[in-house]
Amino acid sequence: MTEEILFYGFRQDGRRPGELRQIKIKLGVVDNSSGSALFQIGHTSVLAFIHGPKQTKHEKESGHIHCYFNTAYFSSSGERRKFSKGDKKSNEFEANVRTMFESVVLMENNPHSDIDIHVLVLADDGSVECAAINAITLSLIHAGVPLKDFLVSCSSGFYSGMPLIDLTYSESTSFQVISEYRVAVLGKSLQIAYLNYDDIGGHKLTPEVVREITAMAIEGCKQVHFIMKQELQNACSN
Amino acid sequence: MQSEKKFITDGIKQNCRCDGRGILSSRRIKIEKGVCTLSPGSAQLNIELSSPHIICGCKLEIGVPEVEDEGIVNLSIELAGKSLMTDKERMAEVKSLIEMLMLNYFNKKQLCIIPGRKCWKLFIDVEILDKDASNLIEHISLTITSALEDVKVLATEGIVNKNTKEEYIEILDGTVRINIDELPIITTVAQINTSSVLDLTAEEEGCADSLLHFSIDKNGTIKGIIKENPGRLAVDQVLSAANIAKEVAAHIFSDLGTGSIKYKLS
Amino acid sequence: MEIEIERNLVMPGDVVPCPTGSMPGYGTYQNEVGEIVSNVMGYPAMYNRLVCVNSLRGCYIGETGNVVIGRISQVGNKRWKVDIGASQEAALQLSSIDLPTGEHRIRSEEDQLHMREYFNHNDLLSAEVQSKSQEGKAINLQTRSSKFGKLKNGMLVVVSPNLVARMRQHFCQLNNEVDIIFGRNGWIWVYYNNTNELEVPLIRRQQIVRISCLLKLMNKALVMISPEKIQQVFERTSDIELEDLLAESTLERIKDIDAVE
Repeated sequence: MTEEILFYGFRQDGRRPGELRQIKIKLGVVDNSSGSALFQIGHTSVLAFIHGPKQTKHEKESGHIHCYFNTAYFSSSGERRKFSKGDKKSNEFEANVRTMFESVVLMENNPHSDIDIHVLVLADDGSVECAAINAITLSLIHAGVPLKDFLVSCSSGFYSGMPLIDLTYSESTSFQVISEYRVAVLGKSLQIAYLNYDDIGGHKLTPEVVREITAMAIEGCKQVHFIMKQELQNACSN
Repeated sequence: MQSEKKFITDGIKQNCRCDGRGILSSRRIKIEKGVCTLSPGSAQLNIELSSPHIICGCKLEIGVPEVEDEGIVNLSIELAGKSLMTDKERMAEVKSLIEMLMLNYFNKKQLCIIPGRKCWKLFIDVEILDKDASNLIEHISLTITSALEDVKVLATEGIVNKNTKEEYIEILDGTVRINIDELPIITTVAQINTSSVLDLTAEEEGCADSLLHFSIDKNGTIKGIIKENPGRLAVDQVLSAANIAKEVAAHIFSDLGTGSIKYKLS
Repeated sequence: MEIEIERNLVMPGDVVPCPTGSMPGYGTYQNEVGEIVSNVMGYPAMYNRLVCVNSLRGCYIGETGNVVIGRISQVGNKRWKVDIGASQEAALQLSSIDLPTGEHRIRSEEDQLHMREYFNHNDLLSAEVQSKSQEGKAINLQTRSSKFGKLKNGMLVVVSPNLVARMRQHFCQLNNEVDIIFGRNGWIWVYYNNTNELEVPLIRRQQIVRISCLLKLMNKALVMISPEKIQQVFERTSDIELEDLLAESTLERIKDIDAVE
């Protein structure tokens, strides 16, 4: 598909290169859980819910975080997905979530408790893993699980000398764009807790490009963090 | 546990259930269409005062038919979150029940594009968000019906060149709706001791002696009956359950368009 | 004495404003720079020099002396494991229960074999938190009084633990003669206290169901749960038929109650 990525400085969906898509957040979307949240950015929609903290399987075993990442068959932008779970990308993400969140969740508060994180992708229009991380953070806060800080995530890419923020599905899968560069940071300190980049276009990343897209992604994370805090404030004042 | 079961079954005998309903009334369910922006048709079901229970999304692809003049319908039912072996088995049972009672009667001929060569493959994918969802079969059938109502398919015309035998699919203007006039819905009538009970909650399902799933269409014709659970039934119990199911189906079909369904039989 | 610092919502990562020399309590932690940071979403409060954050939501934490309701999840080795909705299962030692005959003798081998006759898997019971181990957060229960023990002839309603107010008496009878046990872990048992009758009579059952539905709605509307509040809600909604009680319209009415106060 040779569609224009940038047309007179505007992207396919009318955004500027440094503009995030519209974010919508809903808490408490799965009643039968300890905490849950729906994170929507543009057309991408990811649901996360938590079961826990709860007793580990064996009595004195130390507690861990388990992540179960599923994608609905109807979530894909084009053709129907072939696998909803168990493929390589999901397994990798589940392992990443475990290490990421075990450093942010204060596990010592509940040493013999497990936390099960369930993620369901309802609609995939790019930057799905980032939306998942944001949804997980919100659902952990909703569940009252003690956290050191927010963990917020945003994606970025590079095209024609310009860094792009928050990529859509067509931008992520385009061979012309250096994508998808995903970063997750701690809300206050902006320290990077997760960084993942899988490129399909065979691009070469120069240090200059890495600097620009990392800065762009962290800038996006800052904005997401601000919006998440605002939404939580609004939800609580009701 | 035993005492909780006794409390529930005594309540059913007295026609006063644990959420205040009588034995022949349902909870109010709300169905919203078009919730998945990336699907041509979708629907979401939730019980009043609860979060969404079931989401159904449909996808269409062009493929090769198995039967000459029919399309292909594929159903999948997934439980969100970690599923144990027992959950997976339960989902497989639910899937086969819905295929037998409902999708069997779906008019597949409308999905044919070029007989023997090209057809629409309709994928119906259901995600269950609540592990303790009760009265699943009935609710899933209603969600699927609403999602199919919502589907917009590209209008196509299949052309085969008589000489070269090449096939073309021409995309016409506008979209077409799927015809679900003949599609039945499924309603479940449960037997607890000697009473027929409708729309069980999760705790009540643990006390049900037997469950009768009726597949009934718009005209009130019973298309199929499947029994679950090991309890035994007398013939007149089955007949009275069938009459109840017919009345329920009539209520459901009249309310389906409004997006809010609640029935109460006397 | 608990003093709320300010009605400002704090979130994980936010520094809690407090006087110098304060120590971090529950809901907070001390970071590398020495600041006291919140680790949950909630409102900060001070107990003497301890800075805490009361989380808006969370699983039951547990305090010695709390009355709780739980469900037996395991039977074994001289103790039962009880699910009370906390981060770990609680333990009920064989030595911590009242024998049916009311005896206080030392538990024998025979008692160990008959454990299922006292409490079996999935039974509901009321108990008191006897102790809580510091490091492991494990809770130990005891039922050494006749008012505790197996529950029957009633319904369980599970609400958020933060909504169950502190009260003097956890075993109450409401004005309409419905008996109720408030578990501090958010598990509430609404029941009929007459063990002579085989079945719960219809009138009592309707009252029990009514109160249970109101509790579920109060949980949804985030209204604090106490006998007085339940009475208020009951009076406000007494005109609604039992059948139509669990509905959006009733929820609106209940939400209004809190707004008026």
